[in-house]
Amino acid sequence: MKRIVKTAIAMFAAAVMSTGAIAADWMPPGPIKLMIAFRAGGGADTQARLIAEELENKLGWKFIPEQVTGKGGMNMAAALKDMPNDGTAIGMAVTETFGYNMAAAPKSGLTPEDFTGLATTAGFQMGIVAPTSKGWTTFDDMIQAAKGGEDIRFGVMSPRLADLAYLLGKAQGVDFNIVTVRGGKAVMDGVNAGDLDVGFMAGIQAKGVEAGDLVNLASALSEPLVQTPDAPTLADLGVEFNSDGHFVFVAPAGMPAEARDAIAAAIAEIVSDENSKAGGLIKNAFGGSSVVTGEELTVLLSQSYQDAGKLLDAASE
Amino acid sequence: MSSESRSNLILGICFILFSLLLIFVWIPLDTDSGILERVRRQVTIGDALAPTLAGVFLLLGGIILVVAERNAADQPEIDTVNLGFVAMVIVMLAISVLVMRYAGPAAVALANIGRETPLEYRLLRDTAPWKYTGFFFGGTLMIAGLISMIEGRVTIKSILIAIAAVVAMIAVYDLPFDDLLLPPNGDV
Repeated sequence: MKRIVKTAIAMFAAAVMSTGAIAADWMPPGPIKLMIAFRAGGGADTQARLIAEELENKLGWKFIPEQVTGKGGMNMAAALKDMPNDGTAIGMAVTETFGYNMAAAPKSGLTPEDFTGLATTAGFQMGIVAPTSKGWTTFDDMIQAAKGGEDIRFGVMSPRLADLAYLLGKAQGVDFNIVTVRGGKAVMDGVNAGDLDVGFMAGIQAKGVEAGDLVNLASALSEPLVQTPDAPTLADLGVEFNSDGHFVFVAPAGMPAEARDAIAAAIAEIVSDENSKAGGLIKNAFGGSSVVTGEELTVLLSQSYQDAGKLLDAASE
Repeated sequence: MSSESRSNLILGICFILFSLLLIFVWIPLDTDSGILERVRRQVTIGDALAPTLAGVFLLLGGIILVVAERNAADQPEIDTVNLGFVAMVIVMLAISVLVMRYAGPAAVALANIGRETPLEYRLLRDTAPWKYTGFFFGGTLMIAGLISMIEGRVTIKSILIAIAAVVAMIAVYDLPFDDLLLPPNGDV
C-alpha cells in the first residue's frame, strides 16, 4: 500500500513539475502585441502597461502596447479576433465587453467564443456615489429627494450601467435623468463639479469617500462595498442585476494550451504580488487582485454573455 | 495662367462627384451604425458621422470652386504636362509605399532560401536589422524619387540626401523609443 501511495505521490509531483516546466519554458515566438481597450494614461491603461513592463523584466518577453479604444472594448475585440493565436497578440478589456457589449451588438458578429480568456486581474468596487454636499447620507435620502420633485442627474459610463440605472429608477418608482459620459473619471469629475448629482464609480471614489467629499449610497455589485459595507446592494434595492466585472486579458480563440497557461500564470503572479508595481496599483486603485483563469474564466465570459441577454430584455420593456 | 482656364470648374466637379460617392455609397457600405444611433433610450454618435461630415466639407469645397471660383483669375491650365506630373508623383509614392510594405518580408523570404526552419517577418518586426528594411528602402526611394523628378535627373547626391534623411528619421522616431514601431511594422 505504501509503495502505491509513494508511486502516486511521485507521479503527481512529476506531473506538477512537468506542467510547471511547460509553462516556464514557453516563450512567445516574437514580440507580443498588447491591444489596450482603454484610453492612454488612465488607471486601466497604466495597469496593463505595468503588467507588460514587469513581464518583460521578469521573463524577457517583449511587449508592444497599443491603444485600440472605442465602443466599450468592441473595437479592440474586433481587431484582436483575427490576429494570430500563438501568443503574439493579446488584448486587455473588461468582462463587460465580452458580456453585455457583445450581446447588445449582434451585428458585430462577435461572441466570447471568438476569444481565449487568459486571466482577470482585478474586480471593481462599483458604487453609486453622490457628493456629500447634496446632503444625502443614504440611498433612501436621494430617492426621497427625487420623489419630492428634484431632477436627479445620474452619471453612467457604459450602456450596461445606463440600463442598470434605468432599472434602479423603475424599481424605486423614480425617473432618473441618465447622462452617459466617457469613463469613470468623467463621472467623478461631473459629480465633483456639480454637473451630475450621482453616478457610478468603479473604485475611483475611494479617496473622496475617505476624505468625506463623496458618499457611497449603494453598492452596484452583488456584494457590499468593502469601504461602505452598510450601503445596500442593487439586489436590496429591487434590481436583480448588478455590475460585477473584472479587467481581463484575452487572446484570439484557439490559443494552444501551453501559451495560454504560461501567459495566464505569468499575469496572475504579477498582479497577485502587492510588492510589484502592477500589484501595488491594483491594490490601491481596485482593492486588490482578483484572478480567474483557465476553464473557470471561459465559463465566466460565457455566463456574462448569457446573463447580458436577460438584462437587455429587462431594460427593453 | 489664364482666366480662360476651366481647371477650377473641372476640379470642383470632380470633388462634387467624389463627395457624393463618398456620402451616399462608400460610407453607407462601410459603416454599421449610421450618423446618429439610438441605443436603448440614448442617442449616440454613429460610425458614419465623422466621415459624412468630412464628405460634406468636400462637397462644399467643390460647390465653392464651381459656383464662386469658376472664373477666378490665375487658374493653372490643365494640360498633359500638369496631369503627367501629378500621375508621376502618385505612381512614385505608390511604388515607394509598396516597397516599404514588402521589402522586409521579401528580405526574409530571401534569407529563408536554404534555411530548414523558415523565419517569419511578423515575428521579426521589432528586431534589427529586419525592422528597418522596409522603412529604409521605401523611404529612400520616396525621397530620392521625388528629388529626381523635380530635378529631372537621378544623381548620387539625391540618393545620399535620401539615405541621410531616412537614417535621421530612424534615429529620431525609433531609437529612443522601445514601444514605437516604424512603418509598416505596426500593420504586419
